Amino acid sequence: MTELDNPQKKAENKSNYSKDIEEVTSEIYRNLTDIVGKDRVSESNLDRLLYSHDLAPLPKEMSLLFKTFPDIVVKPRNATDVSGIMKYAVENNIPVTPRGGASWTFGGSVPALGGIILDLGSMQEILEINKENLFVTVEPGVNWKYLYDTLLSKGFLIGAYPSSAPGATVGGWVNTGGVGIGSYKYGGIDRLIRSLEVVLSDGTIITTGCKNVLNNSSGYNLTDLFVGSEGTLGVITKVTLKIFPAPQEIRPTSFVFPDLEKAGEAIHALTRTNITPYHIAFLDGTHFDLLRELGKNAPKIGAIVDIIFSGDSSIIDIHEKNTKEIMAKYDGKKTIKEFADFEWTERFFESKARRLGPGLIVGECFCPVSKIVDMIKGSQDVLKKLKMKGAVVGYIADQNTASFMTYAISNEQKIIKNMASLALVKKLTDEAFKVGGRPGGFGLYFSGNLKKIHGKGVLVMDDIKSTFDPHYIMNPGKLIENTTRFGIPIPGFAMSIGMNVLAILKRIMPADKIEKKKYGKK
Amino acid sequence: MEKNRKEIAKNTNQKEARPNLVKNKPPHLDDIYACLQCGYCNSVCPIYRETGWESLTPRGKVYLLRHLISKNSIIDKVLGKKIADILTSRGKISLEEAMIKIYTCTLCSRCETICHVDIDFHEYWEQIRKWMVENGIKPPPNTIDMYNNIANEGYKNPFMEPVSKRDEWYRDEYKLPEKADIVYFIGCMSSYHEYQILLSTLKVFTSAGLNFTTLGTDEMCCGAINTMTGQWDNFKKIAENNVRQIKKRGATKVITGCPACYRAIKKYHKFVDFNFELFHTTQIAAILIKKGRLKFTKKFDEKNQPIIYHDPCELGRVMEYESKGIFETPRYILNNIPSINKVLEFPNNRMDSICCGGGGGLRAVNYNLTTDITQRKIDEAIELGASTIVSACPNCKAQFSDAIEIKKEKMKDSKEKFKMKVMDVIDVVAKCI
Repeated sequence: MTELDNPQKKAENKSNYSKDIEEVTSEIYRNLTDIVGKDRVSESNLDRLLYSHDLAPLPKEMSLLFKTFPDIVVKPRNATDVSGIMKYAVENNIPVTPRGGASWTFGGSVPALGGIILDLGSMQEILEINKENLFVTVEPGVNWKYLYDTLLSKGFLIGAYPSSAPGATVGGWVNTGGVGIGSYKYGGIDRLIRSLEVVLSDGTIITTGCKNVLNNSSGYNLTDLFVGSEGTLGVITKVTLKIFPAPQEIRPTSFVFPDLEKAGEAIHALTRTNITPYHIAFLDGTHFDLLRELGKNAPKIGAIVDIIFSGDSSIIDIHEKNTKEIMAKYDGKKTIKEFADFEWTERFFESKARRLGPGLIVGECFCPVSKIVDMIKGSQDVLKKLKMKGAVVGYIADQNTASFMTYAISNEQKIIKNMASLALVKKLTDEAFKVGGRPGGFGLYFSGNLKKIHGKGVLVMDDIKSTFDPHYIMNPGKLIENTTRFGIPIPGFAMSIGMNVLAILKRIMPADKIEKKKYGKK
Repeated sequence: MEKNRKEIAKNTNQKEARPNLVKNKPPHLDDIYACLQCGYCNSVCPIYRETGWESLTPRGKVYLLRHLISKNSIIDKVLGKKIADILTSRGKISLEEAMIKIYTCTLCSRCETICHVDIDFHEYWEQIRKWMVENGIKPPPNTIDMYNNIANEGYKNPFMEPVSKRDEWYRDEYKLPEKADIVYFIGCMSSYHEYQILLSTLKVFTSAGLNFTTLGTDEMCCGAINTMTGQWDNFKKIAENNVRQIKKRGATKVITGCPACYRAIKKYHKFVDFNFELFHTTQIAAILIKKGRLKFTKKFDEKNQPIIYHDPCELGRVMEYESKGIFETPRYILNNIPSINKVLEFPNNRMDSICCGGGGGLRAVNYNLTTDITQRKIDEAIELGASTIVSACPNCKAQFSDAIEIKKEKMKDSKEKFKMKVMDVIDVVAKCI
């Protein structure tokens, strides 16, 4: 019997090896391991490092302001585990930050005050697919693309999913109040949830809805309270979503426009008809220019609008014909099918240009569809004024709302320039406010905007927060108040002044250039 | 480098100087910085599916590397690294722990299929391991043992098996010529553990009348383990030995049934000159079938059907990234055996095939984890109604066999009956001729 063949011996070897590196454990570690077991808790510096960030790269200096390093990472298995952890956290006044896929850019899952990271990304099971009454119950860590693919293979369609579906989790999207691909037809996540199982800060497990039927009746709508709560009210441990019979066909189409403004006009016209495509997305020609710089085979065009239809083929035929006529009025020309299909497969991969920096800054905001052309012009101006290379891209969330995901390339290795580039997000947000829109999220950095949008409503939100979480341990420092690690809140105007200073700095600095490198074709 | 290794071994008890990873920049630096941290790779990573730890995902590992090679930031310079670390509640990262994380990976390269910024992960992980070992960080102990066993003249294989045992399965039964146009490079896994593959291959080749021979006891481990575990310093010697032995037999073609051997032998080009052609056994078997040189006289057992084909990562996806993957050839063979009614497919197949769990030297680092991955795959096969899992890689076969045994053990007391067979494509062919 060889060593490679002998599992037992191997296991022994392994445990000896890990014993060498095991450190002295803390009291919190011992208490948490009592709840979830040893292999689901870690307080090693390595693990803490990896749970201290999300998509947005933060310089180490930022940790002086916020305690982004968690003290300990826990992977619960179910609601009972979470309940036990919450009880322990309340007793000892330890902040708890729930975390899903950490694929957001606003720092929602990054601790502001250290404490426990509750990694729900590891709860990845689809618990029930109910074919009779059309709903699915999943754990919060289930990946959206996996859920979409699994359901489609069984003849069902998930209504909407995020444009970062391969990285995002169901729980995360609920907590950020997501809209995305498919929302034009089926609405955002709030319209798709039947029920949530939530663990409150004192460890109580509640169910917010009724999984078999809809929620519309008297009684406070608890489900909607948790949608977009950024984990500040409770920990979602189960999500029941309604599902739809899979359509006969999902047909992507693409239209080329001379420029993005024309495309915006065409989109506006389309959304004023009764044609309801599954998804509408728009991309500036500069997006494809950047792809070409990466060595990819991308067309030289003004702008692209991707319109995806779903449903019965015969009905799609009619809708497609009518759409083509509308697009033609604004000089939109239909592309070949292969291009549209390729665009559809690339729908999750809009940030490839990051490699050119290396670095990427995304400014997510919403604007009224009626003002889409103004917003396009405004966003392009911002990019020009800040001397940044990027592209205006986005999609239509519903008939009123356009979601902009404008991005620009930055260089993470140049700290000051990179910090200054963050001004892009603030400036795009300003543009959105100008046309009656709003920013895409708040998270760690933009909570100041909350008051700007909701006014005195924020006080009510504060009351709700203190009812659900009287000890302020649920993802503290987010949303309601932007608190630094020293307990001093950052007022919205201070953040705003800071950001404006960065913007001025960025405008003074030389324009961003992309180093010419040879990129292999792929 | 060999010297370096010895020195490190000598000084194990003394406090070692921390390698300067900031100065000795790793390969693929562009990729480390290009990573978006979008986490798409997590969704396809078989290790993440089982463990759920961020540190065991491609995203986490890239972030870790980025941290290890990053220069001191402004506050480090102003306040000093120690104070800055205390203020930001950070701490020193154990390089040994980092090493285990980096080595907890099957090198299946499925992350490359979904990478947002097109990182060449099939090369990346091997190169990073090599870079870390070269910087004097010790790889996990079991991989060092395997390295030493391969270097040991008495073994020449990673499993500590004696050289003399290498050809004992076929030495007496098959009298192979000393010189031949074709050399069948068996590989350690088939020579010592999955010897059924070796016997099947010999049977198929003989019945087709091929003029071939093997390297017998002169065969040395192909070195795949060395390339996977970052311990390259012995690789040149291995390459030279095997090429010399092949040349000695006057062969112009080399056939191997092991995708790991196939890839390792391809890498010999960087170290030695040779001009023989390299084939995988499935390629040869397909040609033999096409030419009508194999007569299928026996029937494949009905009760072992339907069969399901599993794409080995190294034969399919990884090879596709390197040059051209072998996806259709094994399927062609299976579909052309008259008594096989149907070849089922896993929902994730070809480029998207999920690793069996046994790749990348992970069996030596975390055996239990590998069988967990395999059991998920076996469950998938059961759900699809398959009775036999067919692969084209001895390592996959060993991995599936192990996991089936473990599953049987687990289900010993349950009422449900569980039956699953594992075969190599060449086993199936041999059974039917």
